[in-house]
Amino acid sequence: MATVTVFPNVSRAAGDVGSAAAPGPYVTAAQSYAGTATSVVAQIVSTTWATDDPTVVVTFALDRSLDGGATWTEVEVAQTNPQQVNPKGGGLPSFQVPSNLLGTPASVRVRLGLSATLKMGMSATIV
Amino acid sequence: MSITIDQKASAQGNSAALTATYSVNPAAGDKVVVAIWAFATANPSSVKDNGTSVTTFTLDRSKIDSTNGFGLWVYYGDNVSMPASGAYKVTVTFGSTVDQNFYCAALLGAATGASTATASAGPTTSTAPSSGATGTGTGNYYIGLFSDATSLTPETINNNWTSSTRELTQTNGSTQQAGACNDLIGDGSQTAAWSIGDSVAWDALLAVYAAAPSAGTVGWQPPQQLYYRLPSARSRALFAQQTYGSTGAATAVANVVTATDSLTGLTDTATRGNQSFLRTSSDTLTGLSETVARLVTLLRSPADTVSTPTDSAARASQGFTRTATDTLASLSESVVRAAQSFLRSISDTLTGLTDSASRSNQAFTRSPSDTLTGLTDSAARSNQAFSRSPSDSLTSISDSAARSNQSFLRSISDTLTGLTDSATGLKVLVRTATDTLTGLTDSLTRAAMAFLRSPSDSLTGLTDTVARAAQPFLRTASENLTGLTDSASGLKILVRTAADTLTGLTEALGRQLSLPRTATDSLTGLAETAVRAAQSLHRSLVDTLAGLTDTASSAGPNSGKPVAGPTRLLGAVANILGGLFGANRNKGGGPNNLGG
Repeated sequence: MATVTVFPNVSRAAGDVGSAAAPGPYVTAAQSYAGTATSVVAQIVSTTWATDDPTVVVTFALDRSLDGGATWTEVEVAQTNPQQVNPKGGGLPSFQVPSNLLGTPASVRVRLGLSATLKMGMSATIV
Repeated sequence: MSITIDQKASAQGNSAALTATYSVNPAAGDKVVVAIWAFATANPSSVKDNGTSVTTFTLDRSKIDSTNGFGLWVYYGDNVSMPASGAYKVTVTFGSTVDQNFYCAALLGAATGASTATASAGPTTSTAPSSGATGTGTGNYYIGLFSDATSLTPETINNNWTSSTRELTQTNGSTQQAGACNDLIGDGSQTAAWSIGDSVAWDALLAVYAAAPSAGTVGWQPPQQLYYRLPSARSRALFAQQTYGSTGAATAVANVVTATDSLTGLTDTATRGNQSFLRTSSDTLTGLSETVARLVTLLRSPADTVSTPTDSAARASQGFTRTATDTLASLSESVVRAAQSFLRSISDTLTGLTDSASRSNQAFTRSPSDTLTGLTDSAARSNQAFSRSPSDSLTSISDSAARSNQSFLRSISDTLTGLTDSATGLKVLVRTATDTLTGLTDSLTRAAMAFLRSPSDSLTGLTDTVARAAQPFLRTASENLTGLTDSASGLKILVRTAADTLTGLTEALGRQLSLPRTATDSLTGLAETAVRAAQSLHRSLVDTLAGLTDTASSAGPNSGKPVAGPTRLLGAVANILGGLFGANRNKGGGPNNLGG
């Protein structure tokens, strides 16, 4: 299991999530996973999440590349807000590469969108 | 007709709104089935796509496990449309952030409507989740899913559903909602089944979707419906099924387009050309790329632009109601433009009409932004009654004929200077405060027009004699007689002002006028005899007799002139005395009778 910080936990100005072809200001570097990976999860990192403005819309888009990062295809987009927690585990929200996409070696990256300034980061775990 | 899985997508995460993006867009008209499991017991607030005509998916079947706090749902959407550009996406939205997982399959060849059969089971505690059996017929699409209450990470999940495909798995039981989704295209009764790594409570759900009837199954099937299928997959998917009470040739079917159909999806010419589709509000003419199809009578929608139909024939033969955003400039060929009655919009400019014939034949109401300058051909301009706008300048009208035939109200910014041809000058122009007579350089014009003189006018500006003589100019305070250098003018009756001096009148004839003498006049100024003799000038305080240097005036006894002096006075006295004493009665009269 490898966990890496894809977005450091710092204050960030508002920015649009953009698209796979034209990312917004916050986009991670490519993270590669082997075709044998069983889970690729991106997890919000924040020390102030519980008290941050709950009206801020946090958008994550997950892109996948099958050509080493030359071209990217959006896989999924998730939205949440500060103070929202994982209903089951109680932790901060996370999202993952859908399991049916794990059988093929690929690279992934995350685009982050913020509707207002927010201090937060993100880590990624590839199992 | 058999079902095939056209494209698929999925998404997993803690999110209120989670979107799955297709890496390859499915065909417009596909049926899309969405299988969802989540750590939530309330239904999703919406399941929608981003098609041109947005599909709000219909809940087909759900299984809610309130005891364990999770649920399973299957939604479907028929005849989905694709976005105008970009990837096709399906978004599942809950009221708040939840652990959710969903898989969506786009199906070709599936019948519209809800599933034909469903089965569900749970909550049951075991290591073998199973939906229970259901389904009849052949060529069905089966989709099954389960979720459990495990806290294992990873949860072990194995397939026990023969021939099915695992489409999505969640093995994180600690922070996510574990579960799996499988699907299968097959026949008869099926049971979605799995095995898991621990014995926990689970719920499972299976839904069955039938294939659409094939074209070859025409026949009487009382009291069921008969379905006719179009030969191509795209066409078939686009058109709603029609019900007929009797058999017939498949090619005779009239397809009725539904509200979600998009003409854009029809790329095969033959199909589109031969069918009468009712157009929906979201259809655009752009989708119709070949002329034949476009000749069909399509009601124009607000979003259509006239520009889109690029072939003249089509455009000419169709009655398009013009919208506010259409510009006449879009219509580049004259014939079409001339033949169509377009109501002019605010944004049209006459400039856009480059051919004279069209412009002259059409009655365009002039807008505030139109300039006469835009009309470069005289004929058109003269035939049209344009109201002059504040920004028009007469200068713009460079041909005399047009200018003379039109009654332009003069504006503040017009100058008479702009009127250089004499014929025009004959127009009655109301003089403005800033006009100067100097601007009128042609004699004829100036003479014929009655200009009220303004305070700033100077007579100097009028250099030709005739004009000056014929016009009753009121003299101004600053004018002096010196300015009148020609004799003919001098004959005029000019009221003398306080500043005038007789000295100014240097020619004899002028001095003969009846000029009342002023206190400052001196007889000395009258240097020539004839004048002085002919005038009755009352002597003033400054007159000196010494000034009278010519003898004739003072010596003539009977000159009849009022000569003053002692001699005449003495003569008068003698006459009086002679009359009184008789001796020397004056028979002849005169001083010389007195003797020495």
